[in-house]
Amino acid sequence: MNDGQVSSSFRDPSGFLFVAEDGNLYRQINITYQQNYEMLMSSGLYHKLSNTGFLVAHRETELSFRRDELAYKIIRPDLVPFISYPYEWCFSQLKDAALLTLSIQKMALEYGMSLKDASNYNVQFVRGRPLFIDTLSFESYREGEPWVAYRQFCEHFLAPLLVMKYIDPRFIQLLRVYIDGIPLDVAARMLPFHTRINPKLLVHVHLHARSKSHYAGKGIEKRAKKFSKLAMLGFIDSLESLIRGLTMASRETEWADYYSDTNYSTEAHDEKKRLVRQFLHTLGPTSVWDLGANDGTFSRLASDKRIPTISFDMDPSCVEESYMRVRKENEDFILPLLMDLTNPSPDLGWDGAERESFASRGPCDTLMALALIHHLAISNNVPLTKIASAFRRICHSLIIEWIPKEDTQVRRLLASRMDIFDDYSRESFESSFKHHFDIIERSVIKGSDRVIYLMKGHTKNE
Amino acid sequence: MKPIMTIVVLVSTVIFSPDAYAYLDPGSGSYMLQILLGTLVAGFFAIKQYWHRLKYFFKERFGKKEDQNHE
Repeated sequence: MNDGQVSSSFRDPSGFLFVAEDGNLYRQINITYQQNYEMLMSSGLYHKLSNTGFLVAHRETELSFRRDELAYKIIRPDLVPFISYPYEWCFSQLKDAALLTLSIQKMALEYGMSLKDASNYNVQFVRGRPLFIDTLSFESYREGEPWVAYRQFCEHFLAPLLVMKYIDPRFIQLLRVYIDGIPLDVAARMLPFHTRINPKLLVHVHLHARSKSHYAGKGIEKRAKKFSKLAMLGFIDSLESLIRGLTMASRETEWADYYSDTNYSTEAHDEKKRLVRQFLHTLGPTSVWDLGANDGTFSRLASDKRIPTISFDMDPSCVEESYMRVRKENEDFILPLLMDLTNPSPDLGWDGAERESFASRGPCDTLMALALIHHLAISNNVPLTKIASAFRRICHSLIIEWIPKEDTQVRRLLASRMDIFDDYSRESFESSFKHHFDIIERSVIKGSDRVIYLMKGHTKNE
Repeated sequence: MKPIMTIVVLVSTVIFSPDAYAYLDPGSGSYMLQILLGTLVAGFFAIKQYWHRLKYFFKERFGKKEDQNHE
């Protein structure tokens, strides 16, 4: 009976998201959640959170949309333009999502409510800022009870942040494996010994992990113990100051100096920008995905024109740098995300349907693949025909840069390996892409051997 | 076991014993850790709040004095 139900929305008995017959996204609130929902709305908490841009806004709609008899109310939340997942975020995105969750919990306590879960999937990035999207996460605060979402918060936010900080930022990928957060015993074993000496890390990670195993399977008399509101606020404050103090040490990466280390002259760089701008103007896309976007320099040619743009790169440092710029400049139309195109986010979770793959979240209107094809074709041995068909599945039109073998970047890639890429030529590139796209325009970038193409997907494939 | 003893046992196992895997109900341990450390954390938080208030109080007074000096 739950037709149209969003595949990620099934755990919470309070309700679920669904797409109705009119194509819009709704949330059914079940009778079991009625009391909490009424408190959220009447206490002023909802208005406070939505007015400050912390919680997704919604409006109540007709009950006739309900999916079953358990429904108490149907609401229509504002749409999140693009759903991203924590394993696609950089350090500061996860940190901001964590701080948002704690701020919401503090606000909720002021209004006599508390978060019953603290999942990192409850946060999305909209207009450059984190936004809490689960309206049904609030319950009335029970005096004397500890925070029920404490463990989940530590595993979803704190543990991955610490592992990224103390070991390697690429370990955000652990969240792909542990979609319910990095288990604290796993994090505790990974973290360096000195983290046991820091009192906050000792409590929230190491003692927490020990406490989990110590009390495993043991019955506890919950009524005998009390936990004051001051203690709850103390725990929240401790987590908040700990996370606020976590920073990523900047480190040199393969691509960090990309734009100052290419064989592009300033003129060629400007010419490339001019061509991309011109092609974007010709297409007038409604959305852009920029693959291999580095620090988002070219993504911003689209987002500065108010085109919603997702700027994907595989290097955490590049995504971090781009996100920090989003925050500093208050950019609304660009979302930098981490994505390794040679192994993009797959369908994950229960029944392989809880979290959508990279391609399932498309297609975008226009795909940009600038200075990328040589990495896919030569570094990763992907045949040009496969690149063309994969790109066609995720876009309607394409702005792509051809990098010839004579280019210093390609020579660098071939310096340490045998050249087995006889098929890597401009003719072969064009014929491979012509199977899926019409080439509308091509322009040689003056001052280089590179060529930029504007292509539109064959309509028969749509 | 008294709460203080439980904390001592937990801390000592963190520092001295080899790691062990945990396959368990995730609720009880988090619940009990908060209960055991609740009073301590609440105490620190209260002190921190008073300290901030005190700092704010002196800052206010100092700021006012400075303004008056400029007049």
